[in-house]
Amino acid sequence: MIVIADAGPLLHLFWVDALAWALPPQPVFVVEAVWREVSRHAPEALQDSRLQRVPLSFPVPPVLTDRRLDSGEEAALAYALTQPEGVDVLVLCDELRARRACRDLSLTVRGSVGLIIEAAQGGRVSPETARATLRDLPARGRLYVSAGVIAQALAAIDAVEGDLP
Amino acid sequence: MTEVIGVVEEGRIKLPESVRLPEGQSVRVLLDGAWDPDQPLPPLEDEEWTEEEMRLEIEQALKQRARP
Repeated sequence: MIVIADAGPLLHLFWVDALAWALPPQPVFVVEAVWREVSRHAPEALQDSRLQRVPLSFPVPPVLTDRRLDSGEEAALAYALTQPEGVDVLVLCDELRARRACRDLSLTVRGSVGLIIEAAQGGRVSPETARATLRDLPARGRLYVSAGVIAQALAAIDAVEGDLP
Repeated sequence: MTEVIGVVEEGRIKLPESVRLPEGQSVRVLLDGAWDPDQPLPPLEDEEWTEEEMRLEIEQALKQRARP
């Protein structure tokens, strides 16, 4: 599977000190526009060795125009769409407009919340830490989500905890 | 010292395009109005996560566990 990141998850997870365990344990490709965006907010986030800078630019296909995506989202999705058929692609993104575009284009998408849940499932983080991190996402993490909606994710961690050996 | 009026956009000070500053130039910022250092920074996204979006996210994340 090839993992391509938009700026959102990289920044949100960095701000809540979760990047180390919440990012998938494999290379994560970051296109140039996203790299620059992350660099403006938190250049230290880009020091994670899994992040692979993609310095090339890709033509934006018509399916992505008129979707009001920002330049980073557009570039990340354009890169995702260049992957050969048969290759599993996972796009990391938290902006709803871009996430809808991913679903429309049959691209698997995961956000900061999903990555935290997966990390808890995989034992990379304790359920307790996952819950605390989820609670931090709205304020310290700057994810645009209410505490009420985060409660759904907290319930998911409870379910994960019940399945753990 | 020359005074230039800028505007804050997405947390960054945007100056008129005619202003060219050399690399390393020091600038002094005077704010109109009070500044609260404890004010929380705005979220990154334009749209707030909905319950439906969260449901989809959780469903996909948990599905990963079920995959062989």
